[in-house]
Amino acid sequence: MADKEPDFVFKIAVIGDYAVGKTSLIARFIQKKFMKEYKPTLGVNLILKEISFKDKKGKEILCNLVLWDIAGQERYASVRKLYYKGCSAAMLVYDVTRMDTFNNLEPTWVKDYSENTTGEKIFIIVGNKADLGDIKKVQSGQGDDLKKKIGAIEFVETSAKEGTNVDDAFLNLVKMLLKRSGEQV
Amino acid sequence: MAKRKEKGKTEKVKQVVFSALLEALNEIIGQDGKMSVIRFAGLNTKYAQVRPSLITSVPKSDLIRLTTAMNRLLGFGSKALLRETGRKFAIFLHPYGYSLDVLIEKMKKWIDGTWDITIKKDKDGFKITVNNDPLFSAGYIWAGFFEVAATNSSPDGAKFVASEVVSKVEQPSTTFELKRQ
Repeated sequence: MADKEPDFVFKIAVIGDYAVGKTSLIARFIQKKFMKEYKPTLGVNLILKEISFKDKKGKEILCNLVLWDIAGQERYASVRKLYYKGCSAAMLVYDVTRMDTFNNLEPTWVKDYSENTTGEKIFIIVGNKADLGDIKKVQSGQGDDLKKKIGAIEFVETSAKEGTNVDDAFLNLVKMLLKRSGEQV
Repeated sequence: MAKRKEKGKTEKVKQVVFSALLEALNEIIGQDGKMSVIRFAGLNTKYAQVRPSLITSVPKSDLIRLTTAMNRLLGFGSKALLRETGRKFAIFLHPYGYSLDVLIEKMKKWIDGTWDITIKKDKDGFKITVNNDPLFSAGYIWAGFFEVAATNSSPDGAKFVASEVVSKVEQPSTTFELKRQ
């Protein structure tokens, strides 16, 4: 697979406040593991992931995902605008146990991404740490409401710790991008 | 015997060049971003723990692997980050500014191989071509690099901005114009 040229390359920004689990979601998706210790991202983590899909006729479609796991800390705000250039979509991540991380999505992250990208804005909303149900502060209905408000393609609650819905979140986003590129997946 | 040794000689790059590029990456995409590029280039075991000051030169192939990784990770969809990295590269490489001619002479000494930089000057600026470009896969780095270099060496303090970069694959070359603003 690595020797073949991909049919599609999608650059995806994974954004949201600090410590919502952006890096953990990617580690779960790519390496199928969970990092117990929180280590803040310094700048960005860049990951290239090759994945393939079968279209409705059984033809294989090769995709390269360039995942940009962008630091949530305020001190990177000035260079962050450069990171968004060329993005196909953004995964907006919040922590279901911290209401402020949800409240910041639209005024901070949707705005930041929208102001610094051209073309159609494609978002998926991810409420992470769903395994911490007993201290959950953001209700699922609020995620759904935000999805409708900003026109996101999907809202999903995930647990990077347990692996719940993580693959689906990434793969559904890519499928949606493929569909918008005219592929029947 | 001496001839045979010469034939098998590994082309090198002075560590000052390699370090300046890594510093530039660190400045633009942070420590984790820099490490992502190094890992993607397959150079992590070699350079992650090494203090650059402890090496005098690195194989040119490592520079090529690094810039190829930069192009694949930073260059998709927009070349803005490569240009910005090039600007920082120039600043880390010559913080006090060399004249353009001196800088080119130094670069040719610092990076081994049969590559060359030609500059055609006119009243509005320069046309720069890097032939057999060692940074070919990430040639936009040169655009940012020379924007800073030309601005720094301008006697009247004029600012220079690079045009769109043209790359030729057959004989790897990078060409762009620097226009006086």
